[in-house]
Amino acid sequence: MSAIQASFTDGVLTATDGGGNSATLALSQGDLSIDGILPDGRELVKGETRGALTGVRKGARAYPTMKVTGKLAAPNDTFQALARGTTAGYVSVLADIGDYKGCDFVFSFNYGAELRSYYGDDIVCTGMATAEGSPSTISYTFEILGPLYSKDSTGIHTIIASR
Amino acid sequence: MDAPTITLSGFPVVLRQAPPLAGLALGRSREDFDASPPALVLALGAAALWVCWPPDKAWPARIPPRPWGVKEPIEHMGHAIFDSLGATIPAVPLMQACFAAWAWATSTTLGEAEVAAVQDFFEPPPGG
Repeated sequence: MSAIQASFTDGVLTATDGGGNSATLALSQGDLSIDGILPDGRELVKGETRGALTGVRKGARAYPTMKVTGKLAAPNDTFQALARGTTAGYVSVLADIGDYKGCDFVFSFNYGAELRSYYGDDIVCTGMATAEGSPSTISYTFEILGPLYSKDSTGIHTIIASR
Repeated sequence: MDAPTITLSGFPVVLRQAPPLAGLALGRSREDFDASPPALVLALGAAALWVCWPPDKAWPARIPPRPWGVKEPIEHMGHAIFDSLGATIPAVPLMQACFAAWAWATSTTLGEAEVAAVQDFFEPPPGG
């Protein structure tokens, strides 16, 4: 197991669609975050009786949120196009359950020969924002609707097993 | 030689030209290539597949390999790549893809002879 702490300089975010297209977020600021990872991807439902906790059950699916920001350069670069689902030949990985466009993702933060990553299926872009500044930026928000895994020297670990 | 089209995960992918230094690192003489154990040849082929893979096409394994660094023996990286791809892709098409990629990568880039020809005229700085 790695004892080398991960750093913002390590990360690479790549998205792929169901049609064999792939894009890596260029000019990434190194601020990717994944928030809202709950055990088995389910909300906690507490039951109380007269002020005492009497039950803890898994509730509705809870979908982690992934946010990342890059420097704004080309307004239709490959990552933006894939996030929007406008890449030529784009095929949504969620086509079997609806028309909202989705991709799979890999977030790698390798250290030398040590391979470390989070990866998951069925991410949908729920927000894309540009902001002018010095430099200008583009921010993405994704919801992770499908399974989520991690991989390191100890193997593959399932964080959320399925949609 | 035309760029080969590789189909490993259902989508045809036309390989790009290998980056020059990666192509140089992959180069082997015909004699060395023939004398190499099959595992080494396949490792070189798998590395060639990765360095020639276009960045806008999905890599046929779930997690793409890391970039190759010039100080790293390229066959070491190729070994890991072959094992990773071999977990999900049948051996025969994978080996065919590796051979095609190696032939392509080494046909389109610098060779040792070209580098040596320039290196022979290079005068290192005094004390360097």
